Amino acid sequence: MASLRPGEANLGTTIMAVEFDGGVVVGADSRTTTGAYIANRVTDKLTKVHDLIYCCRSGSAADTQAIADVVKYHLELYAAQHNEPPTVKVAASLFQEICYQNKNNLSAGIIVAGWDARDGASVYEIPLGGSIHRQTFAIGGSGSTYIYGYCDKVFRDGMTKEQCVEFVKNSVSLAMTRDGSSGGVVRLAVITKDNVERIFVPGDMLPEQYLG
Amino acid sequence: MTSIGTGYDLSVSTYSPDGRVFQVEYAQKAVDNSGTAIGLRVKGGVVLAVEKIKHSRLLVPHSNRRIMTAGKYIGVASAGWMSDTRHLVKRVRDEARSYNDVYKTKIPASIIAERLGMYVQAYTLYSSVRPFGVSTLLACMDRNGPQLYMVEPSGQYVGYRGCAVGKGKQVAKTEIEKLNFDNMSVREAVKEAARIIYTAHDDTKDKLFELELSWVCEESNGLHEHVPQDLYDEAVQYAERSLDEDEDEDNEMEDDEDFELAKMPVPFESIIPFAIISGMFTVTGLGIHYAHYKRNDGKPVRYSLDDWDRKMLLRDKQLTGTDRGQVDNVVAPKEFKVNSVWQVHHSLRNAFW
Repeated sequence: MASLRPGEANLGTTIMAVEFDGGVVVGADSRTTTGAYIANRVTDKLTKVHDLIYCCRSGSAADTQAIADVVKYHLELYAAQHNEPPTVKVAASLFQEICYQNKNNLSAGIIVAGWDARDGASVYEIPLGGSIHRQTFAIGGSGSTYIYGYCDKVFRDGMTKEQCVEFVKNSVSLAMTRDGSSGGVVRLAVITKDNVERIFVPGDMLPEQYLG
Repeated sequence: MTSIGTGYDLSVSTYSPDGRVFQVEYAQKAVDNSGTAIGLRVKGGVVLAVEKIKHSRLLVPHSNRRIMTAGKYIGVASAGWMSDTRHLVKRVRDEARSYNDVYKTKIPASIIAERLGMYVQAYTLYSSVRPFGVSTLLACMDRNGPQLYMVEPSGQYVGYRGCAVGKGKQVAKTEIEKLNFDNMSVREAVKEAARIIYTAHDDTKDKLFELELSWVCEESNGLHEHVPQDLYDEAVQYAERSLDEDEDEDNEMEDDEDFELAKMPVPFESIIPFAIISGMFTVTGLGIHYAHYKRNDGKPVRYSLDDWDRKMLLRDKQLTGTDRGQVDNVVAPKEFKVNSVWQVHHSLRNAFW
């Protein structure tokens, strides 16, 4: 696993994705740092790789952007060749192929989530080594370590879309409070078979929590 | 459709003035000279059948298969050069494998057909290689159901419900067109495929042949494999029997399920001519009877009349006005004097003498 070079932009980050019946909710913070300087405080870490497939990027900003571009290209080609949109599984497999084959040169932790006609809603996590994990909800990035307990406690199967949105919002903002590399605003995207709805939660509208 | 290339057929990278690439057409001829292969796609699966012509009785049965499996779910049957076929099957396997490596899913049928088509086409571009002399039938079952593709030596590939290649393709195609694909089960398709191969096999040219049958369907769990031995035997029996039926004109139908005569009702229209003819006869008969009735005053007709009877009938007519009327009056009516021949004669005698 490569580590970031000094001065390289780092998506410190908290990223998250949750499945519900009929779609997924993905969420992330918005801080990009180069060392102690916040290079971008309103980053969009939720990247579209296909109409109904998004990925959440954490790790090196450059690496993850490059990988997402390659996968986006391949998925577009897939859609043209197969005459149907790619499945989330295919997208995740492509991410995994790249991350694993180039593991020595990359620093990327990615969560792939979306909706497809064959499998419905799916969430896949691809951590640093290039392994792939299908999960009902996934958290990643440096901020995720602070919310493992909270997520394990609060998550239940069969949540509705609104409950999932609340869940993601709460979790990410909790992580942002404790993790220095995460902060700014909370960006969410709700992906269903019909469309993608993007939600923006500015800093002053974050959920209430004990701030001392 | 043979035509002489005359100089434009020496290399596959040369067009003829009328836009043909003769080398590719000649490759097609190699296909046309080989044993027949057919594919049938029905709702439940795909069936492949090949007429494997054996050039010697010493060949071990079931060796040198002409139907091969590539990637578990893809069946490949072909007509043409067998050595080229093996190369193409290897290519199909590699393509399926590499697709799975990248996308982690089974290669769809349309994609593998496209990849094979593109590969075969590549060999029609350069003079340093020759085109493949095979037409390949690809049978696969993927997410969109069973599919059958045929890839020709030119690289063109088309999806079919039923197709045939090789020596007996014309006969086979005619038979295939008669089939009802919508209502056929896979087992029925296997038997029909066997029958068509037997029909298309030309006994005068190559006596020895072995039938190869394979399928990919739900019963085989979506895997491509040669049909189980019991079904194979059943299919061969069905094929041989239907061949015998075709040849034997006076064949007696046995109480066999397959050959029960269809019971169809006689249409009422066929009765009409008979009804008309019978009606004519009836009308005629009744008419004659009525005429006799009228003539004879309702009395039975008198037959075998001699002169005496006729004279008496004449007398009765003069007496009563009708042939059959009879009276027993002692005194004759007044008219009798003049309507009787004798009386008139008598009066005339009196007149002149």
